[in-house]
Amino acid sequence: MNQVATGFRPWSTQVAMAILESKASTLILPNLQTIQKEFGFIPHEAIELVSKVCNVSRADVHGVVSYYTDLRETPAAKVCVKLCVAEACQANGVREFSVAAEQVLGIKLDQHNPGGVELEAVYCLGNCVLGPTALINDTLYGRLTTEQLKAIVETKLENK
Amino acid sequence: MTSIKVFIPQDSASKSVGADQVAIEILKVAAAKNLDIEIIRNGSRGMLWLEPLVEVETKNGRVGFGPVSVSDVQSLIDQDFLNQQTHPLGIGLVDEYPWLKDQQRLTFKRVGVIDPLNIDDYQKFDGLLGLKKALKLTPEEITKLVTESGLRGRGGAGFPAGIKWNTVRVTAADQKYICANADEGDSGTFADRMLMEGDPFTLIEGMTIAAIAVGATQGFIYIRSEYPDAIDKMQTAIKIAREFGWLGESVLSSSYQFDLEVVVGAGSYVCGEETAMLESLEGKRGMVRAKPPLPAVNGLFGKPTVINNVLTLASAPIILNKGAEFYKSYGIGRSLGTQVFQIAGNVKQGGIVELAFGITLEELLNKYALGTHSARPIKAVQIGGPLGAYFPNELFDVQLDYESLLQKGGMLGHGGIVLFDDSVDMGQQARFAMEFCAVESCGKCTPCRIGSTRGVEVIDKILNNENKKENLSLLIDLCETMTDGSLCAMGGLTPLPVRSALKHFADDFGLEKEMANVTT
Ligand SMILES: Cc1cc2nc3c(=O)[nH]c(=O)nc-3n(C[C@H](O)[C@H](O)[C@H](O)COP(=O)(O)O)c2cc1C
Ligand code: SF4
Ligand code: FES
Repeated sequence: MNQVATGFRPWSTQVAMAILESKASTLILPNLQTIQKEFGFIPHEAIELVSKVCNVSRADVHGVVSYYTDLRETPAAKVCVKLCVAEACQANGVREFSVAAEQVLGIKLDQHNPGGVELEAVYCLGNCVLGPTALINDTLYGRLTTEQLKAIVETKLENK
Repeated sequence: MTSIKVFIPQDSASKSVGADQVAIEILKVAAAKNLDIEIIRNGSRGMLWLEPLVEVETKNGRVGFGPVSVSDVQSLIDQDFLNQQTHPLGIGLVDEYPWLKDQQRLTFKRVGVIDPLNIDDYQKFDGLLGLKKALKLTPEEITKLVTESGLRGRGGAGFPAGIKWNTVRVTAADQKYICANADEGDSGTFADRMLMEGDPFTLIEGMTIAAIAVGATQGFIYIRSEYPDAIDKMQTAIKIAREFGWLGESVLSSSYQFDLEVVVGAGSYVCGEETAMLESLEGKRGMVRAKPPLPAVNGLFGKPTVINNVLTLASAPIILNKGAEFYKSYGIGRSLGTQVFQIAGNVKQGGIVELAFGITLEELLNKYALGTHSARPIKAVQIGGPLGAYFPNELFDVQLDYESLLQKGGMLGHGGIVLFDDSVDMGQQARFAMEFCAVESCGKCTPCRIGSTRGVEVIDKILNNENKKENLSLLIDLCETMTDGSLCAMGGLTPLPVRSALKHFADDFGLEKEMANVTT
């Protein structure tokens, strides 16, 4: 559970404070995005920190965290597959594809799996002709097959 | 000998099917053959079924090959594609290709043609002419020209852009803002993304013109996080524009000041709604604000703010450059200029089709889409994103402009046209519309927040044959409550796909056509 996906720093209140100070923003969302970019998620301690920096209550900060799907309170996955399940991709068979994807990856849609592989449903990636399509750790793949998906995920698991 | 120019798109759709790998392979094979080539990473021409589309410059123009895969590269170069162009993947001169030839590309003029971040290229293809013209006009003259051009918002609501700009212009304030809405959340739409990736300077130019017109000094481009490449390209383009003396203290050595910043969204469809976007730009939850006050009077941080869709702003440069008369010579009725249609879903030839308003859906399908990718018959077409109506074959003669679509019970939205073949279950599509609303609702109004969840349940009951008649009238009631009792179009328009599915595809709900008709 305490694995840290590579590419992110382990949590440190001091480091977080220094980074937020260097950014000098008093807006809640950008500060949370900065934290997540550095540490992969928003730890409990970060809520307190951002509330101080922005001079708002912890409830306000928590409200923002819970509102936005991108913001997560559990550590980052090592490989995050954001699969588009919106209409144009439904037209290209993503309903069946997502069931098959769950099977080949051995995980369930929208289940958090810190340090491992996650399959997340998203609504449109702007690749609506070439579905099924997924954003895998910020790289976009189109006309995906389950074999390809499996191979990409395995490579990313090994490499990073 | 000068090197031969080879164009390989860097558009994320093109990369999603292997453009980067093709580029690497071409370099490798060309080097082995001692060929002197220069690779340019352009945007996409918008013929997405041909991606990766590789183009080679010849003395007659650019010739294309696509879709190219890594395994095709050796044979392409062996057949001397740099000179002979005889390969089976060849499509001939790209500008003469039927799909592109008759398009009326005004906003997308440079996308796929130029090197997106090359400011000399940009200017060679008429870039900056609109802004230079604007610098010679008074702010009032600019807003008047935009009003006269007939340009309406391309984000969905179709509000006249010039009138919005003028409201901000005449509202006195110490600070005003320009916000580009690049949240592009509608399924089936990707034009904002392709413009930002393929011709980012056009958006910057449009925003600079808007800033001069209304007296704004700061702009924001709110881009959804699902678009990492567009974010990157826009940020780099802004940096280049600053170094060039375009953005900053003095816009192209004038007395105007304007700067831009990219703000990244965090995964919320409702943040595309303009007031929710303002909340999000202020770092808060994306809750929709009640109007009035209008953002044009009381917007970002309480200041007068222009919020326009990317395509609306990107149309300003050509309007300034060529004039209002030129722009409104395209289109019909109150839908003037061109619309960037995005043909998507289960389609044989999907992509960007920019044409004057007034073409019918049928013409678009017959001339451009050419059927489905699965080669099965088309059963339904959804126009205007997740809040848009589903159209059956009988209604394909609908004209694609704001008013005609409204008359037929639909809406144009951001111009997305999504095809479904005969395997689609319209009961499931109606259910999904409610489900999507439940997932994305900002939660401010009960009909949207709770109604959508009830909607999913009621549709399930109908599909499961439980008390069909009662549940159907419950669903119709619910749709009416959502339409009338929602603050924004999220809850207000979700009934549109639901009711159109019921009305035109009653079979899929196990209903008699008459029954669905009587009640809808
Ligand atoms: C739920 C919802 C989502 C919206 N999403 C977008 C969007 O992604 N992009 C956009 O430009 N407009 C979107 N709009 C429309 C905006 O509220 C607004 O009308 C538009 O940005 C104004 O710019 P325009 O006049 O240039 O179209 C959305 C509206 C609603 C109700
Ligand atoms: S209709 Fe839905 S999304 Fe719009 S304000 Fe109401 S609750 Fe929020
Ligand atoms: S609907 Fe799937 S990428 Fe747009």
